[in-house]
Amino acid sequence: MSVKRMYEAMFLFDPTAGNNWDQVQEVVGRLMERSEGELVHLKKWDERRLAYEVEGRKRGVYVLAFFMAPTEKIVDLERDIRLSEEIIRVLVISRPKYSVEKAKEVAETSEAYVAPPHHDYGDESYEDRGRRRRPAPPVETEEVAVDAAGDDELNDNQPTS
Amino acid sequence: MKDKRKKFREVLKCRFCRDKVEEIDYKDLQVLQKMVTSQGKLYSRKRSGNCAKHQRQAQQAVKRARFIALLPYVG
Repeated sequence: MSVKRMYEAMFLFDPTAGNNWDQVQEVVGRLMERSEGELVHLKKWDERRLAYEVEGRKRGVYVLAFFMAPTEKIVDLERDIRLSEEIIRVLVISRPKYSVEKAKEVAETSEAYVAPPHHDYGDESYEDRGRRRRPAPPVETEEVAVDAAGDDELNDNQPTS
Repeated sequence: MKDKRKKFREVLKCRFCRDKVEEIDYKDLQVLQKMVTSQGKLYSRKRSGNCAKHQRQAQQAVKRARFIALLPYVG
């Protein structure tokens, strides 16, 4: 019997499977059984849009798990997940400093960050944001006056050739 | 003058050192989003103001977050 160590796993579930909590529990439970792991905590972390497409999916359900398992079984666990259809990706990190209590605490307090509501651009479209508007053309009478003043100055400064 | 300089140095301290953060977590998107540009590129140490230790941790955390599709790969 080998030593079991604490691991943290973030499973990325397919949204159809991930929203069925019983199925998630069953899938993770089966994985744990196969890798001789003991589940410490399992939690649905968030369902969100992925930053990029993974296996053609744009959304995914994140499930956070802490478990104790023998080190040599982690490779098998990752291979099982690669073959699994419900889980599209997994990130397993060893957490040697975490006790069971600490892991539970971390899992319970960890909340997915939700970005503040989108800025209201008003009349401006999203593409126009932050773009400097060209000032409205000056009234014609004014322009003439400015031109006249400018011409004088230019003539003064121009070298005579 | 000397006092002023001292104060300035304290302000310059790395944000994680100031908050006494032990480990930067890949799940903490609120923090990680401040470590990357709008494109998703990691800020330089000079720009982010992190100390060596925390910059390494931030780098690790951003890379983990990218792998699990929480942050985009640079594009």
